Amino acid sequence: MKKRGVGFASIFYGTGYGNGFPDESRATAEIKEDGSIIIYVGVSDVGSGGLSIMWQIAIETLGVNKEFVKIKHNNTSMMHDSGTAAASRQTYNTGNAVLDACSKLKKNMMLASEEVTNLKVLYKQMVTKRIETRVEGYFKATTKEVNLETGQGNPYWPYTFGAQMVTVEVDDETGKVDILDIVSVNDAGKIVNPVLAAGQAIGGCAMGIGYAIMEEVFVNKGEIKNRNFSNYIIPTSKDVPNIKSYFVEDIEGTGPYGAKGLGEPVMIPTAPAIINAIYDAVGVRIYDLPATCDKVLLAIKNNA
Amino acid sequence: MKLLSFFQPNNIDEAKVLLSKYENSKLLAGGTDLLLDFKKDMNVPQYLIDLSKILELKSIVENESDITIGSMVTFTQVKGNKLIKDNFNSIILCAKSMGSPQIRNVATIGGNIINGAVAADIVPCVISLDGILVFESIDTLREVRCEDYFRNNSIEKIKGNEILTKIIIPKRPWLSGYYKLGKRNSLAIARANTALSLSIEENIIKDLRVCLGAVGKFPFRVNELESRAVGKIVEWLFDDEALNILENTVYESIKERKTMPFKRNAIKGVFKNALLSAVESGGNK
Repeated sequence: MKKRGVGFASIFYGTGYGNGFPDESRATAEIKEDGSIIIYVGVSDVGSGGLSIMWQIAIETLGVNKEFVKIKHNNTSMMHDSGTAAASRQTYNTGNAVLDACSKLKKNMMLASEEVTNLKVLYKQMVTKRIETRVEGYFKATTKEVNLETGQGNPYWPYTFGAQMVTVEVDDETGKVDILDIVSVNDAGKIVNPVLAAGQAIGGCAMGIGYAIMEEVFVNKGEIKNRNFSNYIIPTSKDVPNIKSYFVEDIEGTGPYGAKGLGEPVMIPTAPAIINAIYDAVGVRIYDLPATCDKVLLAIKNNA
Repeated sequence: MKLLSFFQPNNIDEAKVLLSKYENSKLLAGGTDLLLDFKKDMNVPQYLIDLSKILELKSIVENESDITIGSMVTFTQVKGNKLIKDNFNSIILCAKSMGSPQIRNVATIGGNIINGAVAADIVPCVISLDGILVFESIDTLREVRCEDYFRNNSIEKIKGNEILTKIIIPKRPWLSGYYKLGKRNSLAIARANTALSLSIEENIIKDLRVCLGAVGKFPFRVNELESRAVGKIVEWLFDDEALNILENTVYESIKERKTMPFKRNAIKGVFKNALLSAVESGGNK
């Protein structure tokens, strides 16, 4: 018989490298003779939307029309290091470096002329007045190594928060779990790009479903047997339900415009919420992911 | 081995001639399995004979007492076919759950049967519907019940010069159903599947065919359950007495396998879901 259950899970996730590891980002902002403004920043967009975020932060800070601002990225001969696209750190850390560079350039622009009407003219004014047209931005995250004796120290800043509610249907005669509904709520401070953020939140749930009930690595004598997507099972469109995403925009004082990282935390609550929902539906606790139909059915049989 | 030549015959006769002429050849009947092998340099023959241009193999025809499905009919074709829909609910459910749209567009019924993967989707359906396979070569023609083809595979197995041309399924006013348990809802290989067909009169079971897949070397029928069910009410099939037969059958079939404890239990749920799909189809045989 098919039985329904609802499960919840909440998490907090420290973004950045953490534990005292130097976490630095750099950016350069330059106004050109042709009136364009170039932001050189080592942001790698691995599908996370980092490029759009940096562009938006630059435009907001500079207060100029978006057509005039260009992001140059990934060519390491032209820019300084901004660290990796990892640890959900680009929006917060590199965003702060872009904010820093653009604030400085904006200040210089204002020194040249109170009112900015034409950027080409402004550039000439800056050169004439010997004002820097190229400035460097920098940000270093607050992080301290945790004392292994006392457990004290502040390994991360800031933290992103999230909670999810998952509804499942479990067939107690086959062990099959279907995910019927997910509500995902995240606090990543001010959301810089709502469409990208919702996409990230929903994608995280899909990934969490795979982690919770499908993705399994079979190892034999040190060799992974399922090294292909034909046998390493991840969710298809038929396994992912309609997902509702909401954001609590609790402004982070140290973030660029109040923003924090969102990349990884979005997928963390999904698996525990699914496991809790399975428990609610059929009364068995799965302690070993993924909760495949094999494990769920045998747990039900042992529980009876 | 290296592929020397590729043929696309226009009719069955041409294909038969090619097949008898070139000894080290293989038939291409969709290719969703075969071409994956080629990529790994496995099972590469010297000659490849593609059957996709032979229209005679691509039709579904209604006769007085049966429906004949050409071996090169795709799963997409089956899924949308009215004759199949009106007669064989189990085949429709099977075709819908097989692979993905891209795979269903090219994978064929004949390829699925002959490739004979343990978890081949269509085989339990054809067996439970008493389907007959027709093999032709340049000088022979033979008909084999699909059930016998797998039960006596060492004898009945397709010969090097033969082509599976069609599958004949008798028309009967029976109910039929199918259920597949996979690791996900699409693009999943069966962990266990069940196809069944049954004849009911006033809630009494007159006749029953149950075929289990992915719980043995080949899909097979559960004769004990079939014979014990005759004369009983349909609800009996949901009782422990009936379900325990399935459990024991699977236990005996895969005793040594690690998956046995799971599958002997899961088969009962899989069977019930297949049965429900048959009963719910109601008048839609």
